[in-house]
Amino acid sequence: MGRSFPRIAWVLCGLLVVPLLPEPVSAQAQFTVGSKKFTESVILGEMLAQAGREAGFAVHHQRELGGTRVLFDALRLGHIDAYPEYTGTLRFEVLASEGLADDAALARALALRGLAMSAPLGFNNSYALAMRADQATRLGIRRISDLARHRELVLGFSNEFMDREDGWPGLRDRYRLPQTARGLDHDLAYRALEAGDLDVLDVYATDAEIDYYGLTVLADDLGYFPEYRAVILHRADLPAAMLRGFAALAGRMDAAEMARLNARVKLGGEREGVVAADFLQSALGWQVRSEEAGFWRRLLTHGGQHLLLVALSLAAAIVVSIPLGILAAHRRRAGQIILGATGILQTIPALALLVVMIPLLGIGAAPAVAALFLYSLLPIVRNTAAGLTGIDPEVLESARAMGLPGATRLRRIELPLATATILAGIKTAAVINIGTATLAALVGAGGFGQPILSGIRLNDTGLILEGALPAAALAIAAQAGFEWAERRLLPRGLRAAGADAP
Amino acid sequence: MLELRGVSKRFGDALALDNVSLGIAPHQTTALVGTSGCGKSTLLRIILHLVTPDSGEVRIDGQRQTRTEIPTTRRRCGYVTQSGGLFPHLTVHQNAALLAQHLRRDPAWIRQRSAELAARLHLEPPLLERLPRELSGGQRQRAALLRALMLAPDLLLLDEPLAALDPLTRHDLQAELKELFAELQATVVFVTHDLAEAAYLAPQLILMHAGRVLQEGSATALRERPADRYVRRFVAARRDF
Repeated sequence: MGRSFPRIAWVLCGLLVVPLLPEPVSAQAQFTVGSKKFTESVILGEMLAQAGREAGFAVHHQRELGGTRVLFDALRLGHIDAYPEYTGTLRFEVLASEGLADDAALARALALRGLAMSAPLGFNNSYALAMRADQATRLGIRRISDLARHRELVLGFSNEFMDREDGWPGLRDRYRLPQTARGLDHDLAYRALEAGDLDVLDVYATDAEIDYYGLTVLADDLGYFPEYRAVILHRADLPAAMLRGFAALAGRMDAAEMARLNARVKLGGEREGVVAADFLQSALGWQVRSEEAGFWRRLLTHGGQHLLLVALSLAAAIVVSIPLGILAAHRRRAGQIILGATGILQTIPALALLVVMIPLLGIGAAPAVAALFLYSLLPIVRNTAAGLTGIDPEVLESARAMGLPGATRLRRIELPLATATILAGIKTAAVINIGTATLAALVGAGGFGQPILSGIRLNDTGLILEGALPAAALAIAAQAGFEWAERRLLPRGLRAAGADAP
Repeated sequence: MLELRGVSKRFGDALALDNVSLGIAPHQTTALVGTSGCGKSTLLRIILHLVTPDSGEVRIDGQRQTRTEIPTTRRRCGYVTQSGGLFPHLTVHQNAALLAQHLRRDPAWIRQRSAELAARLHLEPPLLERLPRELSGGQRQRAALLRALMLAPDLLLLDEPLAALDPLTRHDLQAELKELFAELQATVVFVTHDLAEAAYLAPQLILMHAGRVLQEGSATALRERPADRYVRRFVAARRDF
């Protein structure tokens, strides 16, 4: 019983072994294509992957990454090899500072970065504003300039549209619109419009919902919105066979076709891979097979990825936090700095932290583990320090007065007495970590966040629950596991007083 | 055996010890007496190097202690505080054995020594396997004493070891301690605020007030020849039943 602390240490070390079990699926892929987190991009990403496979390569589709910036950086750094993009996005957002006059200038700017774009796929998915047809008729609104006369209308735009150079700020100035707009998720905007909380929203020309919700697209009478022609953006050094596969897709899709494909997924509930394969077969005569996994396979994959993220980040956080907590408890000055710094880390929004990691660590598990690791520090450091400083001073003085050296006091007296508090800190970190790890899908790390992202995108509650329920169950299991460990593994003398009273 | 020369210690604005010089005679009990806050506990902590004095020095066997000698010095001392200072996560036996294990003493010897001392201190063998919180106040102080005596210390430093006990337990333990000290022939410094307890246990008393030594001598000397008004008051401040 006196040797009890090492036993706890072994249990904690056991956590380090867990990550060795699951393997990331992308490990064997030769090439990786990416997609943004909206349906059209995912369908096009599937087409790229299938075109690559048709050309004879092993291609992994890293779907639903967190935004244009994430994808462009990942491509530039070579973490992905291609993704579907729009010329307008490149000219007016990603490379806006270069003032590119046309697509030829854009191609030259991309070449400087070792990148290239395919010939246009065929449709122009420009931004547009839309509102319910009945309301538009009633108010006599057909053009964007008509909005200026209806100050009472509520405008809600996707967060990306709110922030873009070529989005809301420019639009407001050009049309002198008096309204203030609020930002919200694009998929939620449709539901808000249906519920009457919203009158005007931004749409893409190929949105499946335009028809479904009976919307009127307002004419861009001042010609504000630039062209958003869909292209395949890829690394310049891809093999020729792969590029021939991409080239075969060029000019094959008009806006109506794309809107139909979007509708099959978003409204018809079909899988992106199936829809993409159908299109490739009918348009190009390719016999491609979509690689969509079944429910149990998905659950296992996402569960493995999720556990990997949590276990790795938590194990690293434990290894780093406990020494930091000890330092914080023993050195007042260092303690203030350590607790202050880990506290500040905690205030950084999870999404921001994830995105900041991408230039440093690329996409996939690495940035997610790093971000989760940083988030897990505070609870463990704080509890370690609190557990140590909370020990009865008379007990500590007895240990010193005995002539025990510092290391022995720490190992035999201080850490054992702080163990219950430290375990509680690890428990808190684990539960927070499991919840936060659902955001990791935005940087391509997979996990239970993946079905949640797809579910929000497709307005599919079942899919959302496929990620949310296992994640919640995992958090509850972790909580229960730590409580079990506290009861069963902590020797009698280390439990909180009274815990073993009859 | 133990000597303090011109020791002063200040905590913030409070002067805990003010130029204290005194000697502790070997193989007998010396009681440090005074009200709370008079500096007597600080004095024990300075002897154990738990507190560093602002000025002055402590000599043991005529020698000053260097930093590297501090652990050795501490191991020659047995220290018991008011509530025992037992390690709450370890049983009585584990508390007693910890230092000996650290010094790699023979496990059989450790077991035997702890059992012998337990018998000497009237602790039933099953109590050795209990946690401190499962003991009564008196048992806890016996256990703390057991731990302090494990390595047969040359110097026993006791800081109000009986102050938190009920009067009956306290009365019994006073008698036991007196017998034990006589038997051990150890040098004992016994800190107490109770003059009667000091007089009962120790032939030599040192009366302190506000960080200074007011008078040294036997209980009789303090009573019959008080050095100043404060000593006179301190000696008189008792109600006999």
